[in-house]
Amino acid sequence: MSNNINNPYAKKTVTRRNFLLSLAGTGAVGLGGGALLTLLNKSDGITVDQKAKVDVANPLKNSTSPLIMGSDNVTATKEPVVETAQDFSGLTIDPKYKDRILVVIELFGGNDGLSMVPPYGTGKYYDLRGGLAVPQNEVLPINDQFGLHRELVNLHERKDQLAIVQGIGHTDGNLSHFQMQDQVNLGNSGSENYRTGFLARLGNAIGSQDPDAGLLAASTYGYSLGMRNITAPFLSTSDLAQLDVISDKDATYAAYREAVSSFKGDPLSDATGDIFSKIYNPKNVFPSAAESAASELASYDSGDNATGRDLGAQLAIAAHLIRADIGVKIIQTKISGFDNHSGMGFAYPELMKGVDGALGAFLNDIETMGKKDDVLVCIISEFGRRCQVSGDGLDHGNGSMTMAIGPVKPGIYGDDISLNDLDEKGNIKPTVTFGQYQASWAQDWLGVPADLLLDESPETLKFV
Amino acid sequence: MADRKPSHSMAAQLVRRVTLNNDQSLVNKYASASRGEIVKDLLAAPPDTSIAPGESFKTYASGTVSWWVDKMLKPSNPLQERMTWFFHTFLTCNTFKISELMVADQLNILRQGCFGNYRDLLKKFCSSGALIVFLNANQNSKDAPNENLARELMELFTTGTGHYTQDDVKAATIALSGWFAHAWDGYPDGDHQKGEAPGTSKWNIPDTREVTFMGETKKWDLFSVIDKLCSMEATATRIASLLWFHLVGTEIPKPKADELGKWWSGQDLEMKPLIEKIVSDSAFDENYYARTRTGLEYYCAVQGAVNNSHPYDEKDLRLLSQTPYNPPNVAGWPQSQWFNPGSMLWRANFLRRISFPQASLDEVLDSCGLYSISDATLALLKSLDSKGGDTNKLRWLVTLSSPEFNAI
Repeated sequence: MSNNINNPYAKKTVTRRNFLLSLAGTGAVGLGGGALLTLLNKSDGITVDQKAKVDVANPLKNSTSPLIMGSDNVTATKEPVVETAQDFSGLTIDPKYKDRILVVIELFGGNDGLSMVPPYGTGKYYDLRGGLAVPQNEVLPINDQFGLHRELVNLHERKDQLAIVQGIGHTDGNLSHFQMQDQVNLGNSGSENYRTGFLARLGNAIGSQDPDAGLLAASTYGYSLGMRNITAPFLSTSDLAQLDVISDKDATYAAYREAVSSFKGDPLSDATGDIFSKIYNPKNVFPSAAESAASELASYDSGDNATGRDLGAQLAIAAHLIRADIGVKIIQTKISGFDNHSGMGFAYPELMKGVDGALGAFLNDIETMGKKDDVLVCIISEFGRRCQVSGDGLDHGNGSMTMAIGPVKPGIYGDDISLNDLDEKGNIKPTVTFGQYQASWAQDWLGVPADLLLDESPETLKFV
Repeated sequence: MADRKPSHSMAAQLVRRVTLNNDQSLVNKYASASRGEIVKDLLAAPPDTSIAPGESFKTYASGTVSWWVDKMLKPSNPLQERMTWFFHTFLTCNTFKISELMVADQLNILRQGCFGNYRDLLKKFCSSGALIVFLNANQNSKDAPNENLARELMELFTTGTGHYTQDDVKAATIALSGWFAHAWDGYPDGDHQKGEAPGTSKWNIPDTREVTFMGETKKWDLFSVIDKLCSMEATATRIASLLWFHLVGTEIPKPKADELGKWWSGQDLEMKPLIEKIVSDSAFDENYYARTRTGLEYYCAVQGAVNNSHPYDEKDLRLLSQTPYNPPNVAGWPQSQWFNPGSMLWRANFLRRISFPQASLDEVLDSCGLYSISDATLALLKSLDSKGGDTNKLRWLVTLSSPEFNAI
């Protein structure tokens, strides 16, 4: 990263108009990304720097250090004071990556990879897991060592599209959901402590290639850590119907979109300063939820399986965005329920059934759209679970199994894990870092060099 | 920046920041008062002592949350609701893990303690069942230390990072061991009706060794650890800076933060003098519209603008991505980062669910508390009559989407 740092506080020139307008909405996004630079790079007009006390006689008055408004060192307590700006000016993404889309499914709570991808060829697995092990004759085999959970039938049908990653985990994990979730979503596994989400940085890198792009990234649930501080055009919605406001043909909403598109609001950038015009960019034309719903969303309905309903609803939004064909590149979904401290024997098969049902419907849809070669789905979870059973559940663990689904070179990736050589807490010793997995999404799948996004420049897994 | 009603501007900028519910009758009441007089009046109001309801064995705390939101919208003491909300943004827990009764207990601690002494508030907060369960103090025993509460007590609730070492975390973990609360009601014996306080229990064995914490070797416990941390100026500086950002809307410059922390230490971490000090600072007057309203703040402000005529539906808060007691992580809610395409789309969708009363542009602006407005926004609003569609609805939608209304 250090090669790519620009000093966001360097004295630059800014147009008075843009500067004043940019104060309007305020607060907002932290000092991340090239955002501030974009603002400051505007020529003519007044010159300011971070320390300047600008007497703004106009719009929304603000006399102390307006450029550091919203900086987080007093608010978001888990964050460092300043993140260095990212410079993607040297980046040129090869056109062959242009149509590729990344869909991330986060399984929050600490998914037990050993149940999702049981190492059924290892006797020790059955010793450790007892009644919670997936019986050998129920495992859906991948090879003679690993198979899939018995409920993952749709995925097993696509086993030639599965890249299974073994031993993914934290080198400095502390088993806290929240800290590990932060670490994974922000890509903080190295020495750098990022304020922007990893997917945000990836989106910003891709966004740097086309300043006029329509919607580029989306999360299908609320506040997304992974997309935090993204400056590329981004939407987050948990409800397909929410997109209707973008396309509603009603005259009031047409007038509304036109009016608010003239608002500037973000103090930190032009890039996000005109966020309304990004949302209501004429390129972002979606079919309405009603138009999409009846035929396509029905297939996402996983009946009474709550996990399936939740993931299905989110993947339906993903499919909707992909079908709209407006250049969406990164979609993040997230479901909960994987913190299986107890009652795991009943709960886990239901979770897998839900994931498989929703994902199967989504993959069918993608295949029908003819986008099978363009969509990579990557599953991730903040940590795995303890090898030894505790009661009828499993405590928080570390090293785990995960997988990517799509146009991959099928196989098992990562150095072999050992159930005979666990760490002092009884967890699998990691053989693959989260950084390596995420670097693979960025570099191998989307053509963005990992060293632009992660300070350790991790080696990718090469499954695509 | 145009002052539509100079007599109301100052009061409006104050009211929107020290209350949640955008109550214009309060602005009218204070129109001719000075900042000092307004703050004194708000601080002198009797606190609302009503008790939040909650049931054991119930998850998601929807009853407690709807009770609280109703208090925010129709407060008997508006500053108390603002301060309770401020504390919830970082002294928090998640219904994902604890029962409604425990949420209600924690909320009562914040509501009743928000005008008192921060150290006392923190002691009650940290020994509440909700926090013991939420931060795994339950699992911090002699044989299996769990550092979660010890670490967060320092990182999130007091000094912040940079003022303690990993050895201090380990020592505090030992000092904090042995607490227990049942996940369904937060009490050590699982029967809150017995009236006992959360505390140590046969279910969790404490580690009673002497340890060296912050350079002092003795037998420490939760309360002496909190006393020690609260005696450190870093705690006063950090908490005062958090409140500064919350109320003023800008980051406090470091020298000023240090000065404020030193001063507040001298006030023994009493909240009322701190509130008065921050609101009386000239920076408070100079920096309005400096921070984006968070999701819940936006919800309350919109409700205030339409006289609370929009019926409560927890879906609205989900839509705005800020349901109380459902923060995104253990650190609570981000106070910035609320101005982005995602949140502006959520807000547009929330606005679509509201039926707006007929009103002239002036009436809309008054209802919204927008007595100061940029020339550009005002010109845009005045041009809406000729844009087609339902002009009244359009006027409300655009006003409530304006940078001014999105900011605080």
